Amino acid sequence: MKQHYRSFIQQFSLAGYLVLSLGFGLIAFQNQAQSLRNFEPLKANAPLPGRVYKTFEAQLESDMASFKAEKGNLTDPEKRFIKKQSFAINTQFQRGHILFNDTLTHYVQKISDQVYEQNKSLIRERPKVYIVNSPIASAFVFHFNQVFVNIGLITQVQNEAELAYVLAHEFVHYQQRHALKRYKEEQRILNGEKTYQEVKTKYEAAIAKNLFSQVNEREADVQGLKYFNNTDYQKGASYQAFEVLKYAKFPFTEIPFDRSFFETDFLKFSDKLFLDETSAINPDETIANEAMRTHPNVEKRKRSLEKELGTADLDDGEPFLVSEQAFRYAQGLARFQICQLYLQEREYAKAIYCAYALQQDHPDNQFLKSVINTALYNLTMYNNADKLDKVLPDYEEIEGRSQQVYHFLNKLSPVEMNTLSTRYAWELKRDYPDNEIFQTTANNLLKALIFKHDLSKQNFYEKPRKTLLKAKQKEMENKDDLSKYDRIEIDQLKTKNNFRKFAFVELLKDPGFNKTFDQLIEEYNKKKLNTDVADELKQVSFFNNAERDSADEQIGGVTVMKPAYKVYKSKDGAERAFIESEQRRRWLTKTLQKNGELAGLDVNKLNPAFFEQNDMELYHRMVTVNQWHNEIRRHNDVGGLLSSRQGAVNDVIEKTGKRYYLWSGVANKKREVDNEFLALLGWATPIVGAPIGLYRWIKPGYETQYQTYLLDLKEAEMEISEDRRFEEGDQKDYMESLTYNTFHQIVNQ
Amino acid sequence: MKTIRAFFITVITGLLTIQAAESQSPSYKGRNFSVTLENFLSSSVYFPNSNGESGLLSLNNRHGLRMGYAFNEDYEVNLTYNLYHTNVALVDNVPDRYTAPNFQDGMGDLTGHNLGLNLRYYYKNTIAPLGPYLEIGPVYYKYNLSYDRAHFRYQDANGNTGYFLPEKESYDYSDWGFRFGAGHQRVLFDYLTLDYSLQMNINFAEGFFSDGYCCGDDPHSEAPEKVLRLSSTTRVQGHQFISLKVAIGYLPF
Repeated sequence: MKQHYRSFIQQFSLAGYLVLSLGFGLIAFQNQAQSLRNFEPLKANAPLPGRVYKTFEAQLESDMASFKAEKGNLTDPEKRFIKKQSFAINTQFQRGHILFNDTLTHYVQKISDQVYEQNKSLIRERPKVYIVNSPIASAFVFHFNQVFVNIGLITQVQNEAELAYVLAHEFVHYQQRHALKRYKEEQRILNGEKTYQEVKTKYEAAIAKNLFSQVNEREADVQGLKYFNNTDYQKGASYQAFEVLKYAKFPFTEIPFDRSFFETDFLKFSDKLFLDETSAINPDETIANEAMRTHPNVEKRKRSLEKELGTADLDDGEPFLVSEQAFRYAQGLARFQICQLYLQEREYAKAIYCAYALQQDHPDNQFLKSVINTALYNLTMYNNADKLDKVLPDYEEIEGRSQQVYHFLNKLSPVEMNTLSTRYAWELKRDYPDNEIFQTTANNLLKALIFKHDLSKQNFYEKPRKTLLKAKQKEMENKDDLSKYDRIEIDQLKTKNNFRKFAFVELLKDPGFNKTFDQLIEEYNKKKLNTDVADELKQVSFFNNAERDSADEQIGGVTVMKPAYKVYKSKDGAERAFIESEQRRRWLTKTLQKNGELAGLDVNKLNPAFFEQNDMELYHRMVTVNQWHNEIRRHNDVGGLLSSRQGAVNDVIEKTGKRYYLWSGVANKKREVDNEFLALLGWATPIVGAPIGLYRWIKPGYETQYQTYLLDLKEAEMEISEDRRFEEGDQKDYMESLTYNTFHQIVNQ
Repeated sequence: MKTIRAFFITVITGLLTIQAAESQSPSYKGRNFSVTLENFLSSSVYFPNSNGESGLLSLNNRHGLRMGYAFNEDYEVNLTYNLYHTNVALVDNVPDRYTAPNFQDGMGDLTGHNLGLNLRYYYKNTIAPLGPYLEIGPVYYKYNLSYDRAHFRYQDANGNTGYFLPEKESYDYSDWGFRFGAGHQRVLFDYLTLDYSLQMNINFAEGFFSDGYCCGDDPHSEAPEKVLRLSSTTRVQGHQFISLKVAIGYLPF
């Protein structure tokens, strides 16, 4: 990235009180709509849910009506609650985090229906399942009849029954209206009502909220068991589900990582890179302060469940009611998908380990190779920038067999990692000549090796270790005495510490590799002559091939993504005016388009507000671009990184011809202190100034933040970035001025 | 005339230089120039206004025309012209011994023109010409005092009669001054501007603080010319020292 930036378009996290989650475990499905062999990141299917494209007001009205039908007239706190819930759910849908009408969703819906059908009289309405693109093993509900199941959970559970228990637990949250109860309790805590008179500090309030939440969780555990026991699923799965929860933070498998995974016939790593034994997973849940958690300790939950289960036969029932085959397939999809989610989260070591595990059954899978390639590429770039610690935790913090991967990557020096990733990428380039990403990564990694580490062909052996050693020994046979230098050379050939030098033995026989190597060396030598650029070259952004072919190209068209708009009623920014925010967001959307065109640009929109029910292509385009954006914006500390969605984004660019995308947003809130300067003038010049000063004291002041940035999707470069704060309101003229300025900069950059 | 010509040459040269250097300013949706009609109000507490009234609630009025050019995100340069008319209580500066009943009605008429060049700084991270601003710049004052000599006929203790003021009934004066303002400009309907500010004008005229306008170095001179000069300058200063400005403008391009 050209510039460091912090997004104001900070996404709305699922606020604690809105979400009742059960950090759990595992997955399912069938319908061979998507084969694992040709796996591509999961996509939702038509039709779009109303929450994607309807206005917030329309959706809110519908949610209010649904709530009213259940409970009669709404109190003010209930109205506020519904607004928050409605907004939070819509936001999730509109960001494209949710999967719907796809294979995975259909399968989990079937399990959900198994539970619902057996508890029809106990549950208000049939819950509708949605899958969330998140690697965290969890499920959650809001107030309405929707259950959200994270991909992470599906990768972890061992059978349908465990997932069914998790769903039953969530049904209790729904049935008991825990979200509403929790909201109301939080209001009481906030207002110091009833037993909360002693709650004074934020810390005490957090504890009070968590304790209340834990009560709800226990209720959901116990009541959920009753729902679950009404089904024909295996009774013991409820108990086992807590085991899943307990170890959910670890990868979905615990197979050992084969040391030879990255080795070739000639590249053999030093033993120092590997642990003799990895740390065993500590079975004890370490909880510093249980009161600071929304969920009770797992062991306590298990004990509560044990009491409820009593002497029941835990083996009674079926682990699969829908289909075991479907489960295996669905879990396969989820596990493939989580590899990409790990990449998006910059958990590269985890992505490599999971892809490695999946390769045991799918050895030639292109997607899995692509995951490893992307992870290695980005790790190399971080390592070359001396910032590896940003994306790779210390291996000592890791438990379980995946620790081997962390140790291996931690111990590789930057040049060794660069060499390894270059070799891996070049093999992919050779095997998949049509894959543009493989071509680019291979070339860029080789370039990094030359430009960053100042290496040439002479730094690599063209022949295998054994051949060289034999030749040397033969040469030595005729010598009576070995010189100091002979001994050093032989030692070097023998030691595995210089494994890096043998990385390209096969590749140096490849004419394509040699040609590229020579060209890059020539380019480097030419640039090196200019000593002024030598240091700069080491910092160069390799993904962009250093010199952008489009550097002088004027930007003619911009695609405007859905802007963010946050209007807060309170000075502390805690109370958001949802409807006003949405109205102004719509206005901003129009203004961006109008002013972009005024500045002479061709402006397009990629905004769910303009979608219709069957606009799946537009929706997928939006999701792809948003996923790319969410991933790339995390890379603001190192330049030239590769998004796991770059390939998909390149397809979007090719299809639409649009490569420049604009993100923007506004936040507006009341300000604490008004204009002291004018007030002072008022006192200093009482005749004319006093009324003005008084007016300024009484009139609430505002502060507004406008943030925007334009990204070039093709080059993963930030073209324009602006973060402007001013102590004024977000009135029309200010926003017109700022938005025009954005496009003016784009045109004149 | 030479002064005015020099003034305009300076302004135009400055504008051209600025425009060449900062032609990339976005201004308000690409419109850098504004033409504004201004009205300044100040309280006529001690001196009579154009209606001859004084007091806390009596107002002085000044009209203006301003041309502005926003040359970058934060700055705008303004060329301003002000026109005003007011009364001057000449009797205030007439020595006490020259008294006559009709002296109290003896007002001078003062008509003035100001030419100003300000630099405006839009200081709150908004884009010029929009938002709160501070402005500062030189002002060239040109004003004319006229009076009816008949009002200043006196009779002294010895019964001698005469006219205290000179026979010439019209005097032109010019001064340099300084302007400071703090205000806020908004844009309405994309093309109109609404501008309000507090403005302070300080006249650098020699003698305003030192009583030394004319008639040699005698600070206690009671020469009629000095009375006229001092009265006029004081009036201009009082008229414009602190004003509240409200203005409506247009952004043509």
